[in-house]
Amino acid sequence: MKRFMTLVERFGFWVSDHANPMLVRCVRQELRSRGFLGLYLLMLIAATVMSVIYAELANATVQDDEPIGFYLFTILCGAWGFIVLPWQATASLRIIFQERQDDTWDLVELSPMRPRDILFGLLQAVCTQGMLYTFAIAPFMLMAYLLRGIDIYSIVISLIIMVLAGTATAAFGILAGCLSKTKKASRGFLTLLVFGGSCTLLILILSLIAQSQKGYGFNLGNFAEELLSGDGDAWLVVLIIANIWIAWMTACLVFGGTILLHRAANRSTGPRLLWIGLTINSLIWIMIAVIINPYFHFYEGLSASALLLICSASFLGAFSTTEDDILSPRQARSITEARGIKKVLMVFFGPGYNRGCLAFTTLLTSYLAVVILNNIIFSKGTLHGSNDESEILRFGLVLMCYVCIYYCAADVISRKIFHNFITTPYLRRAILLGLILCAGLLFSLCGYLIGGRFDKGNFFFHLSPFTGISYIMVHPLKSDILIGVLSLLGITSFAYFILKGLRLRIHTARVLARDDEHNPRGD
Amino acid sequence: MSLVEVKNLYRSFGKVHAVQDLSFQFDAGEIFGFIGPNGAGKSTTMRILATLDIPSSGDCLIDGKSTVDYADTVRGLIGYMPDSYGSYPNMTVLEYIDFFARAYQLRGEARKRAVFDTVDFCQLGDLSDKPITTLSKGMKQRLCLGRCLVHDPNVLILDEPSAGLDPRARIEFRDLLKILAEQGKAVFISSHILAELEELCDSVAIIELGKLISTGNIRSIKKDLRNKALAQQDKQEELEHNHVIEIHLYTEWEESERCLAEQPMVTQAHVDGTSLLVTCSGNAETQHQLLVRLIQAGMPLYSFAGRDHNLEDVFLQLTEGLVQ
Repeated sequence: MKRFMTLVERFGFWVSDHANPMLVRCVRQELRSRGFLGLYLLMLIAATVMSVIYAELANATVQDDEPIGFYLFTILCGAWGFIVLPWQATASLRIIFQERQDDTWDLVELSPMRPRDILFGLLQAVCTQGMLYTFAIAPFMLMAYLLRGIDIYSIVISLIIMVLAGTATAAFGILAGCLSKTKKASRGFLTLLVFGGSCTLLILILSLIAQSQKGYGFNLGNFAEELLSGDGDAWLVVLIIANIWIAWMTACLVFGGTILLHRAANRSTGPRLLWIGLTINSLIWIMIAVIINPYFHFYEGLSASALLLICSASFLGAFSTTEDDILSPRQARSITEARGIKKVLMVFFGPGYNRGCLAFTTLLTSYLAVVILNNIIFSKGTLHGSNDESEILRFGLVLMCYVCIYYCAADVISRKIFHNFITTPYLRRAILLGLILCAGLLFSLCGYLIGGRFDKGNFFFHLSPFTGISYIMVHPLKSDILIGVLSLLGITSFAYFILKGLRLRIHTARVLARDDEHNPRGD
Repeated sequence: MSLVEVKNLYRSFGKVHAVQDLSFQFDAGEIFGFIGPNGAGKSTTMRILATLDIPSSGDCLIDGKSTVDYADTVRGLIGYMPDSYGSYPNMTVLEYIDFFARAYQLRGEARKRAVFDTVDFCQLGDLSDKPITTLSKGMKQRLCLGRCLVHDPNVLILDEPSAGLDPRARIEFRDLLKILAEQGKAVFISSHILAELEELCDSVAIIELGKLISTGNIRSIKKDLRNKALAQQDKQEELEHNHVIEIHLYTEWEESERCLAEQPMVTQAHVDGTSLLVTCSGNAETQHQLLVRLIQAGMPLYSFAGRDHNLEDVFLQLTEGLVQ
């Protein structure tokens, strides 16, 4: 026993020694803060008063079937949920605003802690506060159970849902805090957004609990019993929720940390890895759905995967193919100094335009592979009632061609034609988005004006990425000359990106300040 | 190669050229002063050196590493104390230092030792359990210095650390810096208290409107200034014939101003209680005559000494008080 205690003590010491510095600091500060102590006491007093009132009501004239415990639980849960969700979320936002306003951010930034570590520490601190509030309210929730009208499982599950939702909104608060710099208006907007979002989530959770107790729809108590009895579907729901929660938290931290990184640093690898991770994660879930659901056919799973991959490639490409082709020495070192598996990964996930093109084309190739596989395995597969076996393949190819052509056109406009004016990744992204929107709407409009609704002979419809794709979905292309031209252009554009991606030689240039960049006297 | 090098540094914010072609260098164990009027570009230069900003062109090297290209490496080598910094509420002195020790990835015994050594060096031992917000300005400055020192950096960048300190706190702070320089650390310090810099620094750089006016050893700057003035015809006469004399009285004397005004060799006089600052034209013999005449007039003086140009004079002569 003594040895066990020593081990526990050592472990405790190790944990406290290696804890995130931001967590240690914020918890130390909060435990002495009047605001925290005041709110904590207020919550305890309010919970005590309400419990006493409800206990009296339960013993008094109220009928036996009156769900007194449920009423008490709903009120307690609402009050506690307000602290754990909107209050904590806006608190995490405020911490970042305060930190950046007071210039203390600079002092922390000078330490070896990366922005992501700082944000993670802040998130941990906010969650710890949430846990402290939960410990305070838990006995009163138990009391609600002891009164009549609510089962213990509903209470436990509600607590878990609320804590998970609280952490998720806190992570969103942190991400929103990273978006704003110093402008009061943007801070106000973000605070409103976080507060509004978390209030909406709280209302949804409370209505879920209320509906569950009233016997409408989903029942939390039954769900808990199914979980305990080892029901596969119930556990699957838990897994899905846990997966979404982890993905959301990771995304908030990675994107938040990337926003705060200096532009001379490597800002590509983290988000790109995250995006690929999320894509693979979604693909796994599609496959799981195919395996466990007998009504979800394999070719449907492949079609869903293909759709996911093309969307994922388009989103990734919008960021990775618009990056600068010349790296800063710091970015270059993140590639050259990588060792082992990291070195291989940096070929696709490393910063810069060329590696971005490679990542983009790799995802497109995966998409193509899935489309071809779908076509090979299910040669009798149908789309929109057609029996043409190569229809899926053709449609998949056409979709990819549109993506490649528009991305390639935006790239040529940004880097060849207007390279003197379009010098930053942000402008290149704006050009890409603008091109897709303008071409999509302009050509559609021209098509309608000239030929009317979906006239097969009207080539304007095909030029638009919106109507062109939908036209092909509605009217399968057979021997149209347009498909030949489209394929040729698409393959050329794809080859263009592959060629760019294979030029992995690193060119560096020092990152210098822009005139409009942060004037400490100007803020 | 010097430990710290600033090479042709430029930094612009729109139309404002905060720093223009700034170059200087200093080495380990040296205290290097940075002097300039408000808005001259001192803080901008220091922020670039501290890796918190990047230049429009030029470079800063610390131990041969560029502050832009090797920011992560450089951050481990420097301790930066900004001119304005927020302090954390509800935190004690020990916790504050401990937080930064943790942030600098010091673990276990190494962290404890670093925290206690820092608190001990900054003489904050008696205040270690006090909340930061209750500390005096002087103590806060020491605490901030402690924060800079917790990871034992080679270079200290201190942006006006003595601003707002009383004389005692200033002297104590100065002594701490001297000890640090003796330990081999390079100290880069900006201040408005020029007398303090004169006593503390080995070398200085003087800037105005972002441009370097002069840099080097204080003595050599003074010498350069004198040579520069000699080269100018209009100042030559002034330097050859005018001498500033400081006179101290053991008691206030109402007749001081009138008496000085009556002396033909006195071109300018400033009376402040028992301290008189007199500009006297002529040579050493004229000064002797002035002394005799003042004593004969009954002036209760106990000190009569010619004053050399100090750093303040140098600063005033070199700069024009322009701001952008």
